[in-house]
Amino acid sequence: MLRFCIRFCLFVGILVIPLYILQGRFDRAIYTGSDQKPIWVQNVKNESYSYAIGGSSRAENNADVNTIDSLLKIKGINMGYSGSDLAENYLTLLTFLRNGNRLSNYVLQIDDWSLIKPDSAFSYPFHEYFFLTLLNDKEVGDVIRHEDGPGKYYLWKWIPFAKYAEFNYIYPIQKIFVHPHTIYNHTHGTVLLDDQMLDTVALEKRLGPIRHYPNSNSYSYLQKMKELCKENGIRLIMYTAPIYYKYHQCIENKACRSLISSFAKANQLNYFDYTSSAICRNGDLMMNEAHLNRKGTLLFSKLLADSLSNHLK
Amino acid sequence: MLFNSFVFLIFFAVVTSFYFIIPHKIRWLFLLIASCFFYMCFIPVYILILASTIVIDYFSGILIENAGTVKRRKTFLILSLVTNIGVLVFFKYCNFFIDNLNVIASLIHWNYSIQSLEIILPIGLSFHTFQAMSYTIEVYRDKQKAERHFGIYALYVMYYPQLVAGPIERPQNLLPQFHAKYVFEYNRVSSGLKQMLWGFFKKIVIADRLAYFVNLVYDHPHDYQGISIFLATIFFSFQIFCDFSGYTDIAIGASRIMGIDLMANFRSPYFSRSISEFWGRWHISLSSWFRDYLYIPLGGNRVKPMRWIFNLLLVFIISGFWHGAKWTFIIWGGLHGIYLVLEIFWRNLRKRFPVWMKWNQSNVFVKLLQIGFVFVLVSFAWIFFRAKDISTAGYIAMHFITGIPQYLSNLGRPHFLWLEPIIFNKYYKDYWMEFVMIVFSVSLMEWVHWVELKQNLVQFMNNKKVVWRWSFYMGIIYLILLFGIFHSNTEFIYFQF
Repeated sequence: MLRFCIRFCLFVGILVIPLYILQGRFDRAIYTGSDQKPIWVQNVKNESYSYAIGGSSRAENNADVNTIDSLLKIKGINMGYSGSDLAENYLTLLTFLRNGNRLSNYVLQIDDWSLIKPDSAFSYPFHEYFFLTLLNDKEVGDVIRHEDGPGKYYLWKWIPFAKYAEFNYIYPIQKIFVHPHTIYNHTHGTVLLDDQMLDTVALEKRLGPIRHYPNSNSYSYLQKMKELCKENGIRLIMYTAPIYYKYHQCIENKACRSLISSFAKANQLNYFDYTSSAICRNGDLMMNEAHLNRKGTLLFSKLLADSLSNHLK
Repeated sequence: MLFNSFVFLIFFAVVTSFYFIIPHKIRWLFLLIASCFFYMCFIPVYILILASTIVIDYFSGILIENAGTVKRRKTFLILSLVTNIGVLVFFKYCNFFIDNLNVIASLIHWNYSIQSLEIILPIGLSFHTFQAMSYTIEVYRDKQKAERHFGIYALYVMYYPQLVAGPIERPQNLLPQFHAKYVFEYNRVSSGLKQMLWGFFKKIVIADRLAYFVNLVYDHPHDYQGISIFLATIFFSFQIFCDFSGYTDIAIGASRIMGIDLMANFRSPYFSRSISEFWGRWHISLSSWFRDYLYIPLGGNRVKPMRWIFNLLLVFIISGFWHGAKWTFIIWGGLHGIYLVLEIFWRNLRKRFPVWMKWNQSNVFVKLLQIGFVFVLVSFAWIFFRAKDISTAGYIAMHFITGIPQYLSNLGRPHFLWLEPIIFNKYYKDYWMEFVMIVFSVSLMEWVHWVELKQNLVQFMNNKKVVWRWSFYMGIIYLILLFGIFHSNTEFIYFQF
């Protein structure tokens, strides 16, 4: 048995050293060269912004920072990205501030999907793979451990390369060392959708009752975000982006809406709800039931800029 | 708890370590508890079904052995078989019969429908049921003494490495091994670990990666051209082999480490030169079960030709039905039966050929031709195994070969994206590396199989210098880490049976 143990340890030792090196190379390559939006945000350092927009794709696609900047003559950044829940929004804001960036206002796009259980809101509930390079950071690690469970967290943390083995479909080796061109530098994080218009007839055919109930875990990240903003002297502003009105009528979401309103009221936050604005009634401005197309986004961004103009710090 | 999960690795490490630490006297108990835990990770309550059949079979075995008359022996055997088959029929085939009765009822305009039962199939039911039946039949045939130790008998049915997908063991092989005492043996542990590693590679790198392409086509076959359908089917042939033999390698390896040898289940089946040879190399534990307990009792080939054909077809149809309660599986089994019957006709016909017309069987080209032909036939049959229903299988079968000439004729045309139909995806540029990996991995596997035709891979590697050996094993580990599929934790295909 001793012979086996010695050989086994030797084998594992030889195996592990290149894995550590490979993990380090992956960490560096991903952190500096990935074309993923959250990692682009993590690479923004020592900048100063008047405002940052956070949230899911309904923030990333529906609020054009260039339009808002030119109207208000300020500098902003869009940190929202597709499929992100409040836990990820919190982590994105946290890492952004850790990088020496200064921010005056954080404009959070919040809606029912932010508050319901993430696995029923998004096809992939928590994108931990965007934060793997920051796994050793205590606060980032805590969120990952809470969301994915301690088993996975310690596996990724202590076994070299385990984290990239699990996500080798996100970070395949053939792409990892190729530095792609990123579009975000020009758009300041906004991704405008194309001009496709919503097929309202097809949508109405598949509409049915939907029920949304808030989830306490998601809500806790909203609280954390508020605390984080308070600690850093940032004004938190919330808004809900337009939703196609017929779709919105199908959603039973009183609990979520009242939670958002009461949270804003209790913390004296500005909250703008655009779910009953005129844009929501015009299918030509929507790409699908929850996202505006390019034309709709440009129009809505003016509306948002107008609302923000008197409330930004 | 899937073999291809991290939880299993921890379970395996803990169980194996304790197995060697604790005294021999209580190892059976420890393994039994570990096996119960392993089984209960799927659907805990189903352990009661398993426990009840174990109790019945245990006592049946003793009663068969003690029975004074043949009639009494037969009675107890029937009791055991009815119990086992009853459980199998209830959980696996009940809804199949109900659904078909409903179809017949609607055809004859009988306005009465029976509700399907809402039951979940216990994992590995067909495997452990067949293993349990093997025990009572062997005791009845006086080829095995009834096991008096209840715990050891329970372990025979529940032994965790082969509990859910075989190999379907025989009591003569497994029961004595549970009584024997094992000490830690370097060579045994080392070769067991290597076999497990090879199994993980086959499952995680090849089978699960191939599954992506196969599922694309088989879930929406009408969206794809003929060449894609052909390739998806070929890919499935490798997928199912790697999936099942990968599982078997992990099971055999894990068991060997603890000193218990399980029977081989595969011997490079895609190198077979005839269908009969294929069935001697594919899922050996099941095909030998059917041979010993069904085909030979039916008379085997020592009967009139028509009866022989009937026996063959019946055994293969039942074998297909064993896999799943769907008509597609029955057709799959029947198709293999037909292949075998045609092969027998062809063999007899060839005997009458003049010498100049007979192929030189030792010619390499002839061998390759035969291997290729058998592989295409087997792959064609897999269509029915994989397709979700008969109409999908029919569509794929109709387009299995037909798209190839069209594809070849397009090859010369300018701007023809020759790779797109092969990778089945308009974003094929993103997937070319996946495709290269599949080709490389399957080639590596087939090279290993070619080596294994002459000698065992572990023995082959042991003859190499340590640098080469360790480089090979580390290379496999790196391939698993870099190209394995971990995010979906795909179940083994044979778990559903």
